Amino acid sequence: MDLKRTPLYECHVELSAKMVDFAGWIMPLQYSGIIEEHMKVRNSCGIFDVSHMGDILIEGPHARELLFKMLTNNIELAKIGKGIYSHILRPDGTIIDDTIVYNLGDDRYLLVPNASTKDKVLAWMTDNNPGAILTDLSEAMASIAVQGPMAQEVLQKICEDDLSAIGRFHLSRLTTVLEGDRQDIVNSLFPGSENGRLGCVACRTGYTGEDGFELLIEAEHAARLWNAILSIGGGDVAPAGLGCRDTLRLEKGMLLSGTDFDGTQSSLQTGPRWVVKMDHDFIGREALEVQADDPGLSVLVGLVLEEKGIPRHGHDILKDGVVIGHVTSGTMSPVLKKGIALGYVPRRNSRKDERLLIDVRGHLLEARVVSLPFL
Amino acid sequence: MNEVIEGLLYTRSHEWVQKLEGSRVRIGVTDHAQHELGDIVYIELSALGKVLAKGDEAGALESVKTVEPFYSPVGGKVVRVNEELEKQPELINRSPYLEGWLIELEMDSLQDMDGLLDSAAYSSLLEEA
Repeated sequence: MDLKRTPLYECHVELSAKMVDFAGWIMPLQYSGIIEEHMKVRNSCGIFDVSHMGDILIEGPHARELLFKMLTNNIELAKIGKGIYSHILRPDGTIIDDTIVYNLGDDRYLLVPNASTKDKVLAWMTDNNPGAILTDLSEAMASIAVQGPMAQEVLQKICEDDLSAIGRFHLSRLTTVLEGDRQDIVNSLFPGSENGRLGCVACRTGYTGEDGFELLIEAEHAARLWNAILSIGGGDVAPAGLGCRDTLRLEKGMLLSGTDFDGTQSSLQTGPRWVVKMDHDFIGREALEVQADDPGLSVLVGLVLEEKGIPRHGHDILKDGVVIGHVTSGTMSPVLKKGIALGYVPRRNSRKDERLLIDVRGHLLEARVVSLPFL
Repeated sequence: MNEVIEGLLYTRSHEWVQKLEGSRVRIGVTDHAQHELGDIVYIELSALGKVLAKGDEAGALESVKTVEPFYSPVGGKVVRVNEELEKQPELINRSPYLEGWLIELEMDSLQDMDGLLDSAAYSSLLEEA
């Protein structure tokens, strides 16, 4: 199968990125190196191409009804201009995807699914649609994540609007100082004046645990915005690849779709607890009610290795010589300089400070359950 | 990128062998191998005194993303390991042919060197890939 290229593909080649296949896309794994990019995002600012992620517009008088049914979190909590993190479940409670849904106002919502599950999510919504209008904007839109403690400072240099006015998990239309003529999709998402400037939609969120923005921009203008951020940011900003995106999100205990949940786990198993709001009638709710009373249920926990070594996806987790679960994500935390992991263990073994062993390629290494995030 | 040093011998699995005095050899991984792995953050080396056959797993290199075993290009007994790597595994990235060496072996038989690639053959292997 041919790998899909994002509108920023040429930028990555120019920056000599190491490219990899990710969910059918050819994406930058790293530029200067995963650890260096990781620390750049923690300490100043990194920019990521996240154009592979989906963008689905949900409109009309039935939009809210559809989301009410689809989302474990309650769409009522997403006031106009705000987003919520949610899971989308099958009737048996297993997770199809995790996503952020933004309320654009006027019965319009923007749902951002993962690249690997976008088609599944779209098909699932279509099957359960009471009459909302669904538009897949994924191909037409590029997305650039600007992440790190200096994200606002860097981005402010090329924006006319005051970024400090955008709250966490809120979104807003931004007017950049770059020239730009018609931007039909940005206008349709967020009506506003163009005045000859390039506009985009900024969501104050990310997948690194740092402050930052995800910028949605029409594909044809993406490279110009990418290059402008890199050059205006000077030494404060660097391109960052999927490699450090993974280590950054793992340090913050965030789930990776397809890895930490693979279609067989429920939201009660993965957490976070607040992602499920039992106050409304969503698909999968009954299954979760049954699961809630199951004492043998396996749940996702954070594990820190007490000795040297690195846990990896698939490694066994043991207690008293018996395999009780598996690691789903693991790495050497660049900040903690320790092996960290997410993995499933039975509820009775999930308490903080529980001592477990991880089988790291034949070595049984001591690990401890910690509360998430790791930092 | 992908520096290859003359005078060393190489394997198809991207290890290098340097002949020292007598039947002693030093072993490491190539510049290509460290580029492929990315930032190396942890290493595992065979214990001193362990006897390895040619092609045996001699340890593992862990980068942030992945773990790759490396194989002994010749048979012999492990007589020295690079202890510096425990504190500074990044030496393999920075200096794969010098400070980033992995282990030294006392070989059983010099014939084990047969079949290893010289720098020209290894370079063309990298170009083909």
